Amino acid sequence: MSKAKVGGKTKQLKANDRFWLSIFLIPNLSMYTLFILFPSLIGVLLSFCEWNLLGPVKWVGLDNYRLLFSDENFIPSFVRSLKFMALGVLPTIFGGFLIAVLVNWKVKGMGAFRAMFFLPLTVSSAVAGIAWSSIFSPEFGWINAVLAKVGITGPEWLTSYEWALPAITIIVIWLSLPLVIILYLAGLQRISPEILEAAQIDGASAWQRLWGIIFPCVASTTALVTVIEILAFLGAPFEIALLMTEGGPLDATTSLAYYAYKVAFRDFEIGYASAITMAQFFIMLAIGLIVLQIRKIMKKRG
Amino acid sequence: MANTAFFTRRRNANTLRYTITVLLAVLFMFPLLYLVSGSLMKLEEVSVYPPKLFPSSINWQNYVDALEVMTGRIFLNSFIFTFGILILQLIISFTAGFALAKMPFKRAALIVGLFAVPVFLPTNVSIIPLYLVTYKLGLLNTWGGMILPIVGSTAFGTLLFRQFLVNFPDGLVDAARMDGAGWPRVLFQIVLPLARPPIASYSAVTFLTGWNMYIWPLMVGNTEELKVATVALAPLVGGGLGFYGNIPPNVTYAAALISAAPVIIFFLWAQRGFINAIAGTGSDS
Repeated sequence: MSKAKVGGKTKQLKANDRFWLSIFLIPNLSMYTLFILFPSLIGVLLSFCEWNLLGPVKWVGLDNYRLLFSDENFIPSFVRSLKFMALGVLPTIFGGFLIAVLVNWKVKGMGAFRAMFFLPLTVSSAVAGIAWSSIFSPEFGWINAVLAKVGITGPEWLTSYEWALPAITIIVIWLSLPLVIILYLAGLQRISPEILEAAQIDGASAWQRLWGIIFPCVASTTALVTVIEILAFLGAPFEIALLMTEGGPLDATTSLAYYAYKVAFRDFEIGYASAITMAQFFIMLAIGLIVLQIRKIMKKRG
Repeated sequence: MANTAFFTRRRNANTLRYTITVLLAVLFMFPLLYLVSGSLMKLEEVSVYPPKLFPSSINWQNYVDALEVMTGRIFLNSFIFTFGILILQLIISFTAGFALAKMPFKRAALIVGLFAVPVFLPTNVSIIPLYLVTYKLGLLNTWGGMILPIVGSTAFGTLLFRQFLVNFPDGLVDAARMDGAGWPRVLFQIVLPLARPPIASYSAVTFLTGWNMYIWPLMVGNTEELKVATVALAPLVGGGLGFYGNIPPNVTYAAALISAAPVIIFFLWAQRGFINAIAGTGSDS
């Protein structure tokens, strides 16, 4: 094979390279741009406009954002989002950690039980909704039947103004736990057995070992899980609430995400709905940054 | 002597731990276990106080009745929707992941950065403008409108494949190139056969999310021709109203389980790939 031939071939391949590079990249990038980047930009722009889907789009500047502060539904929806978060995040993190520690154990049959903890991952919100409606049913449900056994008259749960939000939170915790368990299992498997053995010889009890050694060892997982769950609880009660309570009774389960959906697709105020989602986005961003900052400070102090 | 005491205590602790784990697992699974049990009960057994744990006899008839709600058409629609997304997104994500990992060009880093945008963007924030784009393209209530906008969220797949292919031995690619293999041949004959783990992970995650997707198919495909399982099932949820329309609860449970069956079977079969995908994303961040 002569040098010239090789050279010629390389040159030819270079043009060829660019051709195939475009073939490989352009379908992906155009779809991604059209359906992710472009809509995001549209969302930002629409938050400065007034539009009812049918009429013309009107630029209104910051009016939509000003409206947020005088809207009597915005702040309560935001407060409900915070309630979902306050009730849901910590049980999900600690429950997930404890279950992960329990099932992180190589004994016969544990694989099957581990799989049982992952199963909520596989069901749709609709299936979860059907299963939990029956559990929460005030007359025929298991929860109130068990409560009655110990002499407590259970609430009306999903139709009660006070208890609908906690009930929805329980369902979202149940749906969120598998992911948290899987992430903690991955974290636990990275702890070296020597560390645990060393603790055992020192005579540390199982409980002390759990919080004194194992928990700090998975601190990076905890940080990740905290951010994921805060964002999930700020956004997620939406689908389950839509299916089970339609945001009610009396808006009791209308989170910020749900409120934006209502404004967009029930009232057809697309511009204002976009402003609500932008506000939600900035709140999430702020909370995410605060959590990361706290983590940084904690790391500095050791 | 002290040693025996230590081991007895150890054994007791293990028994305790095992018992707690089993009880907790059953409790955790209870809503789904009761769904199975209730789907086999007679109507007069499901809505009673106190609730019953087991059916007095097995009533398969509920599953026959449930097929009136979960029709073959709806099932087929769910398969078209899920596999349409899975296959189209797999093709464009794998090729782009390959290009970003193995075809050195100037702006690769910039494009990789671009794919990080959705990480900061919760789904419900982008769903309104996504609906508007689909509406303006005239794709509402079409298969294109159902599938293509979801195919557009290529970030997860592209970054997953790129990450795998960055660690793929350059030697194999270079050797094939020296032998005169074109890029498509390198992709299909050298890389693809060795990329089964990330493809399995990707497929598992996408199958689950696609099959269970609710809001999007509800918004753009709530018609007889396009209705998927989640959309068909949603009106039966009934919430706290204890109201199931014309469909009794035992049949509703059966319909719910039929709709969940493919994904549960798939999950138990592909569990490893799925868990690797999640755990992998976790350790990278």
